[in-house]
Amino acid sequence: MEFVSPEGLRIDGRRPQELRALQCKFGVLSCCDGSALFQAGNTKVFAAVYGPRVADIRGQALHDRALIKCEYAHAAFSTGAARRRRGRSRKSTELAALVRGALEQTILVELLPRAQVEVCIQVLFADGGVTAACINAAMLAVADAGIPVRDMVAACGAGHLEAMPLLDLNHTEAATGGLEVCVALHPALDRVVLLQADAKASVDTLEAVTTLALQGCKAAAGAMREALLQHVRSLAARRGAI
Amino acid sequence: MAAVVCPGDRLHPVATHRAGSGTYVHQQHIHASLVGVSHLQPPEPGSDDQRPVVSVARSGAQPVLPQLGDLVTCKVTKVNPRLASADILCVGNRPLDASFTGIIRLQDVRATEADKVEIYSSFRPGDLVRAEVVSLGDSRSYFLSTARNELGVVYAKSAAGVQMVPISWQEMQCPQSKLVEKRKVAKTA
Amino acid sequence: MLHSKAERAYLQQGFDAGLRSDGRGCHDWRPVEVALAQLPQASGSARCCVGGTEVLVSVKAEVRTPTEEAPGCGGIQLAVEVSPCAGLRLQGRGDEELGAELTRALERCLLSQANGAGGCLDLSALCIVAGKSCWVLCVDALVLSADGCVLDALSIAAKAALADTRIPLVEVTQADEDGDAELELDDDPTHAARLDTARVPVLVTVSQVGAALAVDLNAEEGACAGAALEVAVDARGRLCGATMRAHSAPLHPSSLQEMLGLAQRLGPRLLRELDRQIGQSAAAASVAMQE
Repeated sequence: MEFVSPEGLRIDGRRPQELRALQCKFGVLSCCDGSALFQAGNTKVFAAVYGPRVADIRGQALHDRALIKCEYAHAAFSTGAARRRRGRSRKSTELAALVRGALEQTILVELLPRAQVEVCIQVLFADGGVTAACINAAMLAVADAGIPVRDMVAACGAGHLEAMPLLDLNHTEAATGGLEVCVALHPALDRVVLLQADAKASVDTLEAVTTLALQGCKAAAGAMREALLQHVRSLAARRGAI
Repeated sequence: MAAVVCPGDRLHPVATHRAGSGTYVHQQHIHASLVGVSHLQPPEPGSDDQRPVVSVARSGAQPVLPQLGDLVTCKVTKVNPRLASADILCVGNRPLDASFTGIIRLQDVRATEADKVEIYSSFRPGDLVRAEVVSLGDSRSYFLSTARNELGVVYAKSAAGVQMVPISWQEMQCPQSKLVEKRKVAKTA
Repeated sequence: MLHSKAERAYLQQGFDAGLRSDGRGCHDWRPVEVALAQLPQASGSARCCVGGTEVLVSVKAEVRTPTEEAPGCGGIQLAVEVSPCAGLRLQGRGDEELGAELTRALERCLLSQANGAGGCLDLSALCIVAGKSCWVLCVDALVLSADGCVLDALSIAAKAALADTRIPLVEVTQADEDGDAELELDDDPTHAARLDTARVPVLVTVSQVGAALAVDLNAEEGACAGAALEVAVDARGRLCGATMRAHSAPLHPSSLQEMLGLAQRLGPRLLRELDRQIGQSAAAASVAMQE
């Protein structure tokens, strides 16, 4: 099947360099310190942050900085595929480690000695770009919890199909097994925090796809920033602070 | 009108402003580290540093962590000849969700005659103690001190299980059995 | 959460006087909100919020071969997962064990004996070709946030999701000589069949706090509760099952009678509210489809 029609439209009607529609919601759960729901097209990821709190296992607490823990789970109904056995698979451990790495670069851990920040990510529906959506949801939840951070972190994926770089692949496009790159960026400090690429490709292709993904990160960062500012403005207006 | 800022936003250069809470300094600029409303506080007249202070305030609950110099309320859990171990329950007047551990060492129990202190005559397990955080301590617990008049035991139960009444800075009496027990009592006046 | 003895005594005295910290009576539920059709990719789905507890249930209908004991009946498969976001802070495999416990409790409520008769759902309506193929409903539940009353919320959401389920119409064409029929599924949502969920019961957890009996305890109140009984009640007030929770305190036989009676009175009230919300949701959805 062809992924880009002659008019230049993809399977879901987007242009090759167009991001899916993003939606952010905050404060979805009441029992945690911060929570957020991030949706990119059909991919829906939910993140909850507990912290800064005392460490669960006292021996693991670090005396000069915070301990960041990350847990990842995806619901049994999150993929259209047949039901899979629940439990920790290697893929979920790797995803949790990636999100933790991105957050350790972002959170100002020296300000919270001996505390623990626990980030729990739940995927409600996976339609491609899951790693990027998890990082974005975790960032929004951390900002909602009021944990001090260096900068926003925004992530986006991109791929290469039919000799064309495509931004933000959905599940059908990613399932072809071509090159797929996931990048996370600090937009204001302008530095790359995470880069993950699968499949063989030439250096030129990789550069082109990575540049496209970085542009996607900046667009995603802008959308997340707008959503955060609007949420806080409405909260502050209700309290009469503005 | 106060502006709402996002983490990473560049606020002011370090040359003209000072960084307050909710901000950090990177390459000669003050950046926001929280999402919230930014405030500008004018400098106090007569102070050396005449730069105004930039801070970012967040709406909603602030995370609670014991810092140096905070007055905390804790409950003693273990006592041995060198130290008393306690669970920190409240920081100031804000309760914690889960308790941190703190220890009161022999030299931190009182200010006078610190070498003649006996831990068992100052604290017993189950006592509620008001203390001050003097150090972030080692990997397992904060270091607390009760070496001031207004710090020490505020609530203790006698062997009979009844709340005791303080009669001096060193002794508490059970109203039921009239027995006197030794504690390092806080002066709450 | 840390609870001092004074807080527990305060809550127990409140229950003895018939008062709760949020102004409810001992027999009142928190506001129950049910929303249908939350997951467009599933055959049926529902989300239920009871105060701070939030659960999401999805039902997917799959074509499978029926079992040998019941060749003319379909089947139901249940699985409950507890999300790490729920904040229950269980060590090690505690999340999985809790999920398994909730799954078994929900199975006892919804499923029946092996032959499918006498259960709450008519499983013979799920049969396509006797002995060859039938519909199996895979019910997956996810607990997003737990603030007490989790099992009750799960049973409410499961009933709503089953009411929302659409089973596509199947055309059976007689294909080749060995009798293997070809199945053609009709994708049109307006031609889909619905399930009859009138007899599906709901679980009511009745707990004993001090001397009083109460329903819908939140997490704080649950820490002070003594014995707890989970009772499955249907719309006509008939008992469909009763289980004493695994970690509950021992129960006096006379309180047992009282708890069952209370559940029988309160269950139909909850089901009427649930049916009203399901009806409202369905009416809104059909208006939206016509536009």
